[in-house]
Amino acid sequence: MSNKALICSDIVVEYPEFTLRVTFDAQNGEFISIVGPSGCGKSTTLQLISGLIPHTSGEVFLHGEEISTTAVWERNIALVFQDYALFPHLNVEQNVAYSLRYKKLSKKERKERVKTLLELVELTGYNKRKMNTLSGGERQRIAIARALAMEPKLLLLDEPLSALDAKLRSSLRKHIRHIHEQTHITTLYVTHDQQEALSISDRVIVMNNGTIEQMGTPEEVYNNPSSVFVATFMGEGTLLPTTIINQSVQSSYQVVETNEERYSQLFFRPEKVIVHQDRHTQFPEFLPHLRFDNVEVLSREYQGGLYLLTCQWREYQILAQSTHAITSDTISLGVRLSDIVYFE
Amino acid sequence: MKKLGALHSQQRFYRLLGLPALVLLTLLFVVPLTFTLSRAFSGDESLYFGEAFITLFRQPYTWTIIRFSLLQAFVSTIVSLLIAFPGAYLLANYRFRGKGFVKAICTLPFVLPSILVVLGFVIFYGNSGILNTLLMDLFTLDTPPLQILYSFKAIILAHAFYNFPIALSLISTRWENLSPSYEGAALTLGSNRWEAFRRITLPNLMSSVLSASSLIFLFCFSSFAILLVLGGGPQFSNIEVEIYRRAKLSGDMTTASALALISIVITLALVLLHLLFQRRGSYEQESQLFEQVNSSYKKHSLVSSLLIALYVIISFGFVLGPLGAIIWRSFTSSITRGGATQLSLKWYKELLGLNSSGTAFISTALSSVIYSFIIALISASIATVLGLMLSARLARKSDTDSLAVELYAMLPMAVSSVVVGLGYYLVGRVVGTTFSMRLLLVLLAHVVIASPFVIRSILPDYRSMSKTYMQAALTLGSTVRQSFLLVELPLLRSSIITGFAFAFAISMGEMNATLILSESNIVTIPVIMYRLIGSYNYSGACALGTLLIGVSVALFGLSEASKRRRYE
Repeated sequence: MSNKALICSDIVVEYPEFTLRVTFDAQNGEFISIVGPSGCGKSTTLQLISGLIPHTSGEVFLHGEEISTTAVWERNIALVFQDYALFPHLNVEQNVAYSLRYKKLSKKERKERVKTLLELVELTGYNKRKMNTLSGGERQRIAIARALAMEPKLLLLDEPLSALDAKLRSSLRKHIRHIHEQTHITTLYVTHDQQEALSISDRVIVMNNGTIEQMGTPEEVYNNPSSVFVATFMGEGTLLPTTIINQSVQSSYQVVETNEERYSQLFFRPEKVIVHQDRHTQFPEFLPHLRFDNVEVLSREYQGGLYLLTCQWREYQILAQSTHAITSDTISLGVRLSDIVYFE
Repeated sequence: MKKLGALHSQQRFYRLLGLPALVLLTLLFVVPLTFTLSRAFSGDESLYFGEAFITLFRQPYTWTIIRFSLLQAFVSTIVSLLIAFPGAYLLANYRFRGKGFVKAICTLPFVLPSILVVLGFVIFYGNSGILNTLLMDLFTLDTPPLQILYSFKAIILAHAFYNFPIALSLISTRWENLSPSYEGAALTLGSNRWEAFRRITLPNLMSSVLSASSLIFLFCFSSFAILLVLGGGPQFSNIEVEIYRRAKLSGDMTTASALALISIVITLALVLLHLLFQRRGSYEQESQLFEQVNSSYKKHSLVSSLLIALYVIISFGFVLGPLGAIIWRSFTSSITRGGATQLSLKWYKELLGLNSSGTAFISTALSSVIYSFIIALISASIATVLGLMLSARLARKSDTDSLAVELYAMLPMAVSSVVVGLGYYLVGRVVGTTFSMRLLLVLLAHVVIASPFVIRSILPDYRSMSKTYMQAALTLGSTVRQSFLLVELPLLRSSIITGFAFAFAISMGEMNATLILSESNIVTIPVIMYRLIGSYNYSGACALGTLLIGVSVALFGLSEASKRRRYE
C-alpha cells in the first residue's frame, strides 16, 4: 500500500446513456497512459480523480488517503487541460505562479520557482509574455510548468498534444517524458493516440465503453492483447477464425496444439508475417508456423522504409509487412505460431 | 456519505450568486406590474371585475389605436429592412476603406436616446430645418420643399433611422459568415447568379432577416417619444402614447392600466417570436462546418465602388445629419429674428443659469443634468451588478430551469418602458410621493429598464468563455469563489464595461418611464428636452442634446476601448 500513489477502487459514474466503472492503481513515480477511442471515458476518469466531477460510488486513495470528499482545490492534483486553459488576462509568470498564491512563499522564492520551472520546460525568459504571443507548443509547455508549480502529488494530462501538428507532437512527447524523469511525479496521461501511449509510458491502460480492457506494459498490451478490441486498437493486424489452422499449419517435428476448441479467433501483427515472392521456396523455419500459399496482393502501401501489403487468401484478407518491394502479384506468407494471439 | 464534486459546489455557488439578483429583479419588476394589472381589472371606478376592458373594447378608437400601432411598426420594419439590405450586401461582400467606421456609426443610433432622434429630426427635416433651408437657398424656393414633420412619414423615417442599423448589423454579420463555397457550389451545379442568390444565399440569410425584423417590429411597436412628438396628434397615437395620455393628462389610471395589459400581451408575443427566430438562427450557425470570416471579398468594379461611395455618403448623411444639426444649432444664435446666425455660447450660458433671460424650463436644466448623472450612475451600477450575477447563473447552470430563468430575465424587455413607468407611478400613489421616494422609484424603474441590456452584453461572452478556465483555477488551489473573482471576472471585464456603458446610456436617455413618474420636483435631461421642444425652445434643447450626444459618444468610446483591450 505504501508505494501506491493512487488507487481507484471500483469507482463508478453513471450518466443517462453512459456508465464508467474503473479499478486501477499507480505506483509512486509511475507514468501511466490511458488510451482509448473518443467517448470511452478516459477524460472523465481524469476529471473524476481531480474532483471536478463527482462519482456515484467507489473510493479514490491518494498516497493512502481517501479523497472522494476532498474539495478539488484541496486535493493537490494538477490537471493539464486539452485546451491548456491558460488564463489570457495573466502573463506567463503570473500563470505559472498562480497556485503559489496559496503557498507561503516569499517574493524571492516565488520568482526563483518560476525561473526553475521555465528552465525545465525550456522557455527561459518568457516571464512577461502574453498568452496570445505564444505558439501552440509554447502554450502547452507553460501549461505543464503551471501544473508543476504547485508540486502536485499527481499530475494529470488530458490529451495535451492533440491540438499540435505531428512533428511537434513527437518532440514534445520526448520532452514530457524527460520532465517526468527529472521530477518523478506520478503521472496519468490521457491520449487517443496509441503510438503516443506506447512510446511514452511505463504502463498503458486501454479503455473502451467506460471500462478498462487491459492494463500492462506497452509491450504487453501490444504483443499480448487481452481482447480483440485491444489488439485492433493498439495497432494493425489480421484477425482470422481458428478453423483455418488445420488447413495451413506447417510443423516439421511436433504435434501442434491448435486450441481450436477453446478459441474461435486468432490474431497476428503485419510485422510478424514473413513474405516470400517465390511460392516454391521453403520457409527457413523449423518452428511450427502457418503457411498461406497462392496469396493475391491487393494493394501495396509504401510507408517509408516499409511496405504494407493487403493480401487476399481464400475469403480472408491478410495484412503483411515487407522490407523490400514486392513485384509479383501472387506470393506466399508465413506466421510463426508463437507470434499468434488467440481470442475466444 | 457526502460526495460533493466541484460540479456541485460550482452549481451551488452560481445558484446562490444568482439568487439575490433573481429575487430583487422579481420584486422590481413584478410588484409594479401587479399594481398595474390589479388596477386594470378592478379600478376605483369599475362596477365589476374587468369592466375597463369591456368598455375599452367597445370603443372603436381603441381598435384604431391597436391597428395603427401594428401598422406603423410593420411599415417601419419594411422600410428599415429596405435601407439596410443594400448596405448589408456591400458590408458583407466588399472590403473598403472606412468600413469599420460605417459599422461603428451604425451602432451609434442604438445607444441614442429617442428624444435626441426626435430633436434631430425637427432640426434637420423641419420646415425651417437645415435640409429645407439648404434646398431653399440652393434652388431659390419660397416655400420649404420637404413637408415631413408631424406626419406618418416622419414617424416611419425616424423609426428607420433608429432601427436600420439593427438590420444592417445582423444581416451583414450573417452574410459575412456565410461560406462563399455555398454560392460557388450552386454555380458549379448549374445555377446562374440570380438563382444562386435566390435559392442559396437568401434562404440562409432568412434567419437573420426574421430575427432583425421581429426586433425592429418590437421596438417600433413600443416606441413612445417619436410618436408623441413627431406624430403630433391623436390620429397618430399608438398604445404607449395613449397610456401616457390617459394616465398623465386625463388621470384615468384604470383605462391606462387596461391599455398597458394589451401592450404587454402583444410585446410578449413579439419577444417570444424574436427568441424563436434567434434560436433557429443559432442552430443554423452551428450546423455550418467551417466558419469563414473575412475570407473572400469580391473584387471592386467601377459600379460597386460607386455604389459603396453612394451608400456610405447617404447613410452618413442620414445618421449624422440630424445629430450634426443638433450640435450646430446648439452653438449658434441668430442676431436678428430670422436673420444671419453667429457662433455663440448663449444656450449653454442659459443652461448654466448664467443668463437671466432664460425661460422657465431652461432654468431647471442644470439640476436636470445633475439628476440625470446621479440617477444614471446609481442605476447603471445596480443594473450591472444584478446583470452580472444573473448572467453568471444563466451561463453556468445547466439545469432545466435555466431556460425559464433566461426567459424571465428577458421579461423586462417584453414590457415597454411606458408600462414600467405606469407601474411605478401606481406604486408611488400607495407608498407616498415624497421627494426621496419619487427619486427611489425613478432609480428602480431605470434599473428594471437597463438590466436586460446588461445581461444581453455579458451573457453571450460568459457563455462562450471556456469552462476549463474555472476548472483549471480549481485544480490549482482556488475555491469556486476565488476562481470566479480571480479568473472569470477579469476575463469578463470588457463585456461588464460595455454592459455598464449601455445601462448608463439608457438611463441617461430614458424619457418614457421618467416622464410618467416624475412630477416637477425630479427632472432628467430628456424630460427637460421634451418640455423645451414643446415650448419651441429648440436651441436650448439642442444644447442639452449636444451634452447627451457627448455622453453617448464617450460611453461608446469607453466600450469600444475596452473591447480593443479584450483577450482572445
